[in-house]
Amino acid sequence: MILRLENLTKQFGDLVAVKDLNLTIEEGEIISLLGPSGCGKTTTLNMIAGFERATAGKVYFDDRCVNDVHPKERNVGMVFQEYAIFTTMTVFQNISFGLRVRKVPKAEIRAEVRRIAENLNLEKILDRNVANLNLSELQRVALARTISVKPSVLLLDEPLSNLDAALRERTRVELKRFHNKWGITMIYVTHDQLEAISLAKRIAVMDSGMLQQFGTADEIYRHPANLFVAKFIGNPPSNVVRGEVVKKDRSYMFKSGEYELDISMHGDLIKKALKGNKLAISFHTEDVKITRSRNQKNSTPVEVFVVELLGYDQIIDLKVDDLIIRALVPSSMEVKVDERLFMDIPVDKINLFDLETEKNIFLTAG
Amino acid sequence: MSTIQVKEVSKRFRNVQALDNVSFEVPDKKLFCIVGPTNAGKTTTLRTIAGLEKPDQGEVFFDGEPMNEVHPKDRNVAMMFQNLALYPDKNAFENIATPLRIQRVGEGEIKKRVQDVADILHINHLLDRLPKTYSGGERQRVALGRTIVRRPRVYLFDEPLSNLDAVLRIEMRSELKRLQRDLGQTMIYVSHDQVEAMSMSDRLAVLNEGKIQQIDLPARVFSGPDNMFVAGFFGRPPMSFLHMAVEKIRERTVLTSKELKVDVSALAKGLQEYSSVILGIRPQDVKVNTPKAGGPVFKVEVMELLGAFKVLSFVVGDDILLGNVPADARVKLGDLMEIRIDPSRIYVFDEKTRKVIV
Repeated sequence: MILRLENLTKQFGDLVAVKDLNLTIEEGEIISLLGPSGCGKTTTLNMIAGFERATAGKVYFDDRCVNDVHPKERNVGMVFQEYAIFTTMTVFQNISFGLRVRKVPKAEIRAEVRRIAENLNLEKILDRNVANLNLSELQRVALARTISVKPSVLLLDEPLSNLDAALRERTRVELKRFHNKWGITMIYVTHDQLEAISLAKRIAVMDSGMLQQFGTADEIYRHPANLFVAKFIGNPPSNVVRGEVVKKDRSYMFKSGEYELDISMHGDLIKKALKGNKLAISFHTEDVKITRSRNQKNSTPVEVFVVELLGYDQIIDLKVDDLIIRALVPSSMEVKVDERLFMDIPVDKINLFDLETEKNIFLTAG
Repeated sequence: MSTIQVKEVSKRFRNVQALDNVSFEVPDKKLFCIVGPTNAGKTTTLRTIAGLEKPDQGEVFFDGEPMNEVHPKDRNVAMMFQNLALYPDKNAFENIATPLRIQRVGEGEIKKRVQDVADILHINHLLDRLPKTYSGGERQRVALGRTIVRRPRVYLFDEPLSNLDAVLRIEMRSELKRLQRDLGQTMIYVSHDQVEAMSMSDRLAVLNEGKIQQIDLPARVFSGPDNMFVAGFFGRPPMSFLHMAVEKIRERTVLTSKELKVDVSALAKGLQEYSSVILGIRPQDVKVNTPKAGGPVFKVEVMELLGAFKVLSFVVGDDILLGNVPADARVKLGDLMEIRIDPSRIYVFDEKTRKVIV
């Protein structure tokens, strides 16, 4: 099924929860709706499922507008953070429930449950009572129950956020395997970008009820459409520095307080697409190079403020006057708090934003 | 100063052994993490330190002074939980001042201390505003302010960040760490998140099923895990574990499975008494290439993009092996890839005790 949202809007009193949302999800595609809490993700799902009525705009299932179709008739499957299962039944009874209600013949039920269970790695625990399952298994039972009645689209609202980190990852892999084999149209709502990237080819980033960017993980990562996306994407999130452009002779300098960066290589772009002189730059933490001795003549002296170990890598917070720049470097590099180092920012990898519009001028310039 | 010692503490709830002979020491002015999965006993440990649970056995000491008979409110600890409740009808000033009012601190002193806290946490603009106007991070900061406005012997934090969005969580993580350093106070921090634990703590205790698994520096639990639990808990994607036989082939000692051979002659001494072991290797250390050198090949079963790299899953015997490749590597599901395991990057565990051998 192709799912299409057209100028979808939802207002609760004065609050605009979703505004003019346009999205098309292809047959069998899995997309992520990614954004902070309160950005309108769940309201969007509820309008697709029919639990909320759109204030304006339309929801299409293939070519059919379903605005006036009752939720029960939409054939939408939903899985939430809180799993909905019958706690006194076995796994088999839970998964087969919807089929039994529809009076599907017994042999057919058995075959269908087995097929679903195999896809979600539940086949060995079909006879267990759900009271004895771990959270990952419970969530997969909830999922199995939902898909047993063959919904034409599956909506998942932060289904993994009640699981602890290790289970979350295992369940995510199971979900991914399931989608590979099953090929159902799926929308996965999350505030966790790693989850979004790992599950979906295309990601819709939302904030304040509005779509900020819709694209592949790679597109969003390389060229965030605006300052919100830039600050949201990256693990840890990218550095964003606000300042202004100062033209000196033929060169363009970016200035923020005492900090200066020569961005002349983007001079043509700035000339073409920047309206005033107020500019922000963004760059990923892993692109920041730190060294003990001055690397280039324009290396910036910095002071180590905080060191956070992540395993293979560590996050270093670097102080440049009033700015804090975050760098992701291998843990093998020994760095101490208060140590003085030098920092280089790769100018070819930065993104530039017009502070008037907050938009990425790489994209607005075409 | 405040050194906290937990000595041989056990605690049972009906038929669940929540804590089983737990001992550790929290050095003065350090940030100490207690980390483990759900139901590991983390919160029970914290509540025992606070005096909200009485241990069946064992004792808690603050600076060498036994605490078991000391009432919670006389222990002078400040606790902050995951579900932070602010008084909705009070502004930030009054929310933060509440614990001081309960302690009957003078009005002038209250003003000064709330102001100090507001400066540290950058929440001056919230002091006369009501909680409903705060963002998630601001709410968290005000709750934090209410916790730190007292001058307790120790701060006890129970997953204070787990209700926050991913991005905000990363922000608050380094902010909390900075704060603890600036305040110079002992802090015990409970988390189920291995990254949070590694990144924040000066030292940490890994807990599972009520038992201490390892007490160490953050870097050590990653690079030198004592057992398979710790090895699998830290690092993402997690370490893979493969069942292997130990064989002598000519002069060499080799770990073998049907599909894989790893020459471990350099480690041979520790392996003499074993006929089978478990090999552990992190996905970053598995060499994955397109087949050419004639090494063993495996089919890509699952592929996940995780930012700068892709994680590939392979089936090896009854086990799953994860390997990383760069995000732009040309790999498809079902492709055959050649796997090489560098013996210098592996861990070897005892099958029965699950402890590390070499």
